This record gives sequence, structure tokens and C-alpha cells, in this order.
Amino acid sequence: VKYGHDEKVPYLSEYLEHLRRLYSLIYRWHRTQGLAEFARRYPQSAENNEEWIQKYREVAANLLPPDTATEEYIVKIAHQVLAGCMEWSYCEQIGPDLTMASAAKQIMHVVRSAEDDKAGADLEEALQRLKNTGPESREPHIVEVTISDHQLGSDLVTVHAQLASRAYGDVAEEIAGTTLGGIVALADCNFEKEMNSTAAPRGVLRFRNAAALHLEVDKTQQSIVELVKAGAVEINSVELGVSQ
Amino acid sequence: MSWTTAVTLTNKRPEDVFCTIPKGLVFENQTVGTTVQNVAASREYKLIIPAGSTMRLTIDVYCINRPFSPPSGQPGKITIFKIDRPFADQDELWAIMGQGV
Repeated sequence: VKYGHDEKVPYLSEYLEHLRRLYSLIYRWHRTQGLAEFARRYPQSAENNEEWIQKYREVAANLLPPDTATEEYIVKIAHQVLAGCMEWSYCEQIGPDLTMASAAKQIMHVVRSAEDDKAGADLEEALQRLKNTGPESREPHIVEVTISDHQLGSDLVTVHAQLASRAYGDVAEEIAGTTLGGIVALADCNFEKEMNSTAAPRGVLRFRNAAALHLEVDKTQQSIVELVKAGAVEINSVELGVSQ
Repeated sequence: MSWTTAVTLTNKRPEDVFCTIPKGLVFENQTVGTTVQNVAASREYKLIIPAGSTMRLTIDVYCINRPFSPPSGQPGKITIFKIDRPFADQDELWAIMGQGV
């Protein structure tokens, strides 16, 4: 997810500015002190001819000014600080209570948080496309959602239930003071299909709308559902499946 | 083995109300993820609920989630949904619910 490069994201400039402020600390230190300090520690010689040394000289000499650095470039430099040719400066103090490494880690944290936010927004948008009532619900429709690494480590029943409450959130439950259901049936029927499905890759959950689960909104005249909606009848209790 | 669902309801109007419970109307569990089967009415019911009275109905049902455990009298809810095609018996209903991806 290239969050920082999505022009639809309203706070793109704020996000990129945050990254650039952190990057500018790395940039300034390497341009003002880093090259000289590096030359002192690793002077040009036949012995100091390792690949990373050559790479650092090239990277440091060509560091992009902060105001032109892109998200990808800043991430690339942060990687070099944490585990690359700039790692030699890992512990250098580059600001009050800030080391080179902590600036690089902050960059990675900001990027990961933005990616999580974007993934969450994409998920919400996908789930809200699922229509279970109204004219749009008549055609079968399935949305696939990728669940996060964090969610993959959790109980799948719980993760499915959490997402299902959003996927089926357009089914009104409270009508005229009586609770009419629908969300549980949709969620359970969908989960049954997920249990039996071998088509979806690991890390992907599929949510089917009512039509794809062979359910339709009851429109029978004078049905109990209509009477409850009209406030004529109140449901006091339901006991499921008493065996005979 | 056959199953029933008990529904207690009250006519809040001062006149008798004619009421239909369509075949295939779904009754669900109170909460998601119980892995206990939800159920659907196995036939249509037509009844008159007298003005202001409370009735307890016993409705024949089929289970709709084959891999799940059978229901055992737990509290549930009437849903706004019914099965979207005809079925004759429990096996046909399970077959319908198992169709599709």
C-alpha cells in the first residue's frame, strides 16, 4: 500500500511532511558531519574497499534534499540506517534525545501506521459495499477482505464475527421496539461457507450478501415480520429448536 | 428427529390480527458464532391473534447450518429473512444452503 502517494488521501501533505521532518535530521547529519566522520573512520584505501563502504559514499554524497524526498526514498534511507550502508551511524545523536536509529524507527512506525489506517479504510469500504436489504441485495455479491497478520493470530471465529457485524450492519435490528434479527443468520451462514471453502487463500475472508446465502427479505403480506414492523405485534420470546 | 421453535407474541392492537408465518422464515440465535444451527419454518402458518392477547406458537422448523450443532431450546430471534427458494424436507434445505461458493 503506497499510502503517501495516494492523492485522494486528504492529509497526504501532513503525512509526507512528518516523514520529511524526520528524514531531514538524518539528511542534515550525514551531509554536515557524516561524510567527514566516515572519511576519518574509513579512509580511502585498498583495505576500505568493501561494497557497503562504496555504497555509503555514493548514497551520502547524493542524498536528496528533504523537500524533494518521496515516501519511498525516505523509507529506503531509513532501511539503510537500520540495516544497511548507513548502519555505522546507528547510535549517533542527531537531535535532543534522538539518535539516528530512533529517527529511522520513527519513520518506519509512521509508514506502518499509515498502511494500517489505509487497510482499515479499505476494509470498511469493501464491507459497506455488501447490500443485504433493498433492491441492491437481490443479486448475489461477495467481497473478499484480507485480514491483518495480527488478526491471523487470533481465533478465526472471533475475527469473522467482528467483521460480520460490519458486513451485515445494514440489517436493522430494532424495529418498533421489537428486536427483529438477521445479522446472526447471515454471519453464521457465511461462516459455514467459509469453513467448507477451499477456494479462498490463507489470510482472506469472504463475506456473501443475503442473496449469495440463499436468503431474501420476507415481503409476505401480513407476515409476522410486517406486523412487527407496523407495531401491531410484539415478540415476547423465541426458543429455538425444541426437539420432538 | 424433527424440531420446533416456540414463539410467544402479543397482539398490541384493539382488534384481531391475521398473521402469516411464511414457509422458510428464518429464526436465529441471539449471538453470532455459537456454532449452533439457526432454523427455518418448515411450512406456512396462518393464524388469528385475538385483540390484545398473548399467544405461544409452536412452529415446525428445519435446521439451516448442517455442520453446526443441533439447537436445544436456546433463546433466539425472528429474522427479516426467509429462504429464497422452495424446499420439501430437511435434506433439500441443507442442499440449498450448501449451494454456491
